[in-house]
Amino acid sequence: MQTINRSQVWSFLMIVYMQLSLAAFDQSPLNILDKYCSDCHGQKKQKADLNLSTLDKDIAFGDDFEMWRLVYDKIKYKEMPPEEGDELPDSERAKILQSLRNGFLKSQKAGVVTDRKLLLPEFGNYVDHDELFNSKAGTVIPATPSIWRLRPELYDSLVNSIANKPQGLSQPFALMPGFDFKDFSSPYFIDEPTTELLLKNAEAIVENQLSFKLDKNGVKKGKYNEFLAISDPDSPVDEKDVFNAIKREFQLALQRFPSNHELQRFSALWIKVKNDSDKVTATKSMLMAILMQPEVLFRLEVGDGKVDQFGRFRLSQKSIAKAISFALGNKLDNSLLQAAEKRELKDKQVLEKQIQRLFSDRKFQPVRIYTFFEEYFGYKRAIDVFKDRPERGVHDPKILVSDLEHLIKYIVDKDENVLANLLTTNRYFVNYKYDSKKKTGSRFYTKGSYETVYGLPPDWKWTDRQPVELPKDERAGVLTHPAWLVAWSENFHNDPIRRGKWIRTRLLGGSVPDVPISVDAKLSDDEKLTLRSRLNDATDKAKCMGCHSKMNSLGLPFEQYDHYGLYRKLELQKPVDTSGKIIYSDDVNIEGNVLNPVDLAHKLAGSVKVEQVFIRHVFRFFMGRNETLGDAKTLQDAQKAYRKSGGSYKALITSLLTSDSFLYRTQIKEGK
Amino acid sequence: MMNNRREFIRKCSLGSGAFLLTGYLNQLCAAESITYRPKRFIFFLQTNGMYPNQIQPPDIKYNKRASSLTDKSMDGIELSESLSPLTPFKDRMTVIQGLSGRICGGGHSNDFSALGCFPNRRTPLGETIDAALAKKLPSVFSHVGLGVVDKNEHSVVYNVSAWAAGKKLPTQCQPLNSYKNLFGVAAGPKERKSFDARTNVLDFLADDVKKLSKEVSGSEKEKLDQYLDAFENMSNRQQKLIDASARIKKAAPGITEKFKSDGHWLDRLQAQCDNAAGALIAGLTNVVTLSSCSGNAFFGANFDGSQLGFDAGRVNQHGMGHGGSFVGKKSDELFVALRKRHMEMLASLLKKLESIPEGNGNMLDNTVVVFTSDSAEGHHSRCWEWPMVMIGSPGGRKIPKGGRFMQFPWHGNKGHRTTSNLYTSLLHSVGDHRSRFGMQDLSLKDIPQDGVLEEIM
Repeated sequence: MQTINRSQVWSFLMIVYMQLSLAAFDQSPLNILDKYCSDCHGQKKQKADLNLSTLDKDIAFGDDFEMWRLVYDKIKYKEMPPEEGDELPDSERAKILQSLRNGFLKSQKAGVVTDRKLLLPEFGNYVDHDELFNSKAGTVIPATPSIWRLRPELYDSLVNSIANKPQGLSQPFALMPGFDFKDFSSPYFIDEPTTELLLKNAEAIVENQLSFKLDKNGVKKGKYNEFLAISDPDSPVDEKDVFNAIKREFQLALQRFPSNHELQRFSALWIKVKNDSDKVTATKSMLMAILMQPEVLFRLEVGDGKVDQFGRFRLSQKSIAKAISFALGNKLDNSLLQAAEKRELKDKQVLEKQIQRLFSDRKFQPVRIYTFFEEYFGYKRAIDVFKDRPERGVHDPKILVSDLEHLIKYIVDKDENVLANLLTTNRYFVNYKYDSKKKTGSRFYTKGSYETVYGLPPDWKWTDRQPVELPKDERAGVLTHPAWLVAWSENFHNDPIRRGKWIRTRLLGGSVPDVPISVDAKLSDDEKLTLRSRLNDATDKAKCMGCHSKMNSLGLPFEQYDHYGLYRKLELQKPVDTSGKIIYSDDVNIEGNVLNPVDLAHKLAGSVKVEQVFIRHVFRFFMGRNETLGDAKTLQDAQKAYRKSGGSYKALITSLLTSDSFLYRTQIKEGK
Repeated sequence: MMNNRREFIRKCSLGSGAFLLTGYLNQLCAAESITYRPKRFIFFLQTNGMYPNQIQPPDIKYNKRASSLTDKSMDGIELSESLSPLTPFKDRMTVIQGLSGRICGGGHSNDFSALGCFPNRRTPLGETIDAALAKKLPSVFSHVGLGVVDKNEHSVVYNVSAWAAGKKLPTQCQPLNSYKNLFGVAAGPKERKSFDARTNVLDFLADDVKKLSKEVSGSEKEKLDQYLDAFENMSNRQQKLIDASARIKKAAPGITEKFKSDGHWLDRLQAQCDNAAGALIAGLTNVVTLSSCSGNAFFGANFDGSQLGFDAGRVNQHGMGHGGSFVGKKSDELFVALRKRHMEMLASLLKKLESIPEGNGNMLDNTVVVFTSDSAEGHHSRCWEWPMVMIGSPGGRKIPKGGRFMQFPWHGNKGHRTTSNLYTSLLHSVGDHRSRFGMQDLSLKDIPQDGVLEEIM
């Protein structure tokens, strides 16, 4: 009898699946597209060279996958149908999007927005902005319990708190490359090579804990006598000694006492290894096992309270202490931990007080309130962009970055209209560093005139009375600062595409897909042409403008500066063209032409939509996850707090860190 | 689409002109009966570009925009200065020019796409060739990534290898750490106690992770599952390592000053080559990837002029790429000297493999080495061409005496081939007969891109 093997069964199933996927493509969304789009993209007219009726209907495996992706984005971000066309009802828009998305997911192609990718910071804008800010917000539906691997700074802080400068440690945790928010909960896990390193580190830490000296009486003395007591070959050991050692390591690494069950388990390990080997190996193994507990290496936000009427539970007191500490700084705050142990972190007012205290606690150092801006603006990328020495002298991006960081700190510390000031100020720190010993500013680069990059004359006399006022028509905030301009530039020229993309995504809340792999995106090298004209030549085709219309007109006003960030009036001996346009912003007050980057920055700074998109980014950074529609109330409350306080960034953070989105988790239901 | 020689033969025999090919087919069929399969692979990536003129044998004219294939013996022809340390292995060597890799995109480094043949997005869009081969050649460690970056605080980086899309493979950057990972089981009583302590911990922890895993769901649960997998894999491996400890002890390299973490990266790279040789000889792995400051985050590594026999002083590779000179040495000379130093390290590794008997020959007979750069043909790579040096013959074809030089037709010309074709050839040599590795270069509309490099198989 003929038998069917497993691979034949799989082949058969695959064929059935392929057939079904073709057959199951729901035609009704296509009918909707036909109804609303065929006047411009059908048989009679093909605006942007697009005829929807001829696209391959097999989205996942057909030839027009990339084109369907663009169609999806255009519909999702309400760029299509255009205002003058028939309005597409939201219910029908949702049907089309769902149908296209199903096709994308089936393809399993790289670059497809899968559910998993939606958890990454660069996909945060995919959640509908209108629904977040303009809908009536009900009870917050927070995220499900999460497990969040420690970021490198937190691991270092942990190690330093449990051992005395141990030698031979390696940082086991890497962060995502690129210039999006780094410390997100979703992308990080602990894989095999990381576990290898963690084990080695644990061993080095334990060896450090077990090190001892002989005192003048010849008695062994160490920092942790509990560990010495059970590892010394000459001393008798009873169960109590082992329990004491376990309790001590738990307190150090987990900030809690072990349960009885845990005491039994870890002491059993010690006894087993001692019987197989010796006391030192037994002690090492047991202490290493504690240091390798997932609770040590991950932030566990799984909750331990009662479930409320909405199916949510509040984080435990200790989890709240950790979450607030780690949101604002790189170590656990002891006062907060003590308050948690007394179960005081219950009322919103108590939490607000604690957060306010941490903002100004020099010992704690709430550095992350500034790190947000580093990751949001991406200005540190300037250090990675290699440039030749300019004709006027030196290019040192570290100085530019330092100047911008002082400016951001200055504005954040004043804490008034923070976003608007960051986008419009013409008062910059110039070649400035802070001398902490003298407690005064000093000149960063002293071998020549570095200040010319800001448009200051070579004979400008440096002053420590900073920030310095620069011409209003030349500079407006971070986006016209040389550090940001260099960060978003190439080695030899400006980068209007990335600058435009930055504004589109970080200020206007839009999205630009990755470059399709079939595109050989290269600008001409013709030095007789301006970058604007080379960019237009390369991208003016209809199929390119689908994406480039979202970026070019926002990035080109920055041609006002050369690629070092120096203000210029001429390019190739002709007046430089700095015009641009704000489109697809969803804010009628700012739509339209802009004259130059200063005009652009001021318009953006006055937009309510821009303010909301900024708040969405602050949410992502401090929550370590993307917002969902369930967070609408949190975001709306945060905007109210920001406005009520006159644009206080700290009030905004306080509102977020005391919100239900931060303090609660949604219970996982059985079977899910 | 021709997948392998056997399929090619079958298709030919069905054609109308089959009788004309009878003699050739008989020859191929005879070749089919040869069961040669490489047992192991080494990839060696040196950052900052492999300039075609610097590996071109001086007596063979470099034809940049070649219109046809040049395929000749290097018998009686000297290697270029930068490759000269490989002269003892010249009979095993093929210098390959003219393969392109435009799909990768270019730049200072092509990161994972250099070995992956997909667009560079800084995160892998698919598996890389070393991982694909490792899947066909399983061992105690499927794949060993060893390398260096100039900053010695990096213990592990993720720069050139990937098991699958989004799943990066590590490159260990500290020779002593690599040594303990690979040879710890056999490295003396202290290391053995440490090995035992780790084994105890691994066995113990799995239950704790399983317990916590019940409290979360979806992607959060997967994170813990990864942690659990790590324990279980490592725990299983511990036993395999104990079983092989006698062999490992014999193969482990001697620890020298070069293994120290505060040493210069060129010294550490030599130590990593020693680790690589030890790992292969001990049978701990069959695929090693060595990378020297590879990846966009690391390509600008500085070194000291004295490391290459020049005056002491800081030399910046990025500056070299932009034509920078150093104490009278031009950029070209610096590149050649630096590559020569890398070739000396490779030669030392090859020599060790050659000294170990295997079957009727030695380990090197069954090894294929590919040396290239993650930055393709230059500092600002465009990937129009991707020079390679290969030691060994993946298909078992005899390399002519004195070695072989191949220059493929330029991108777009008839007969042009890509790095994907070379990697597909490597896969075929271990029995993975897929039609193409990686993604197609869509700008090569009329050029067939599937299949192997027939000339080397």
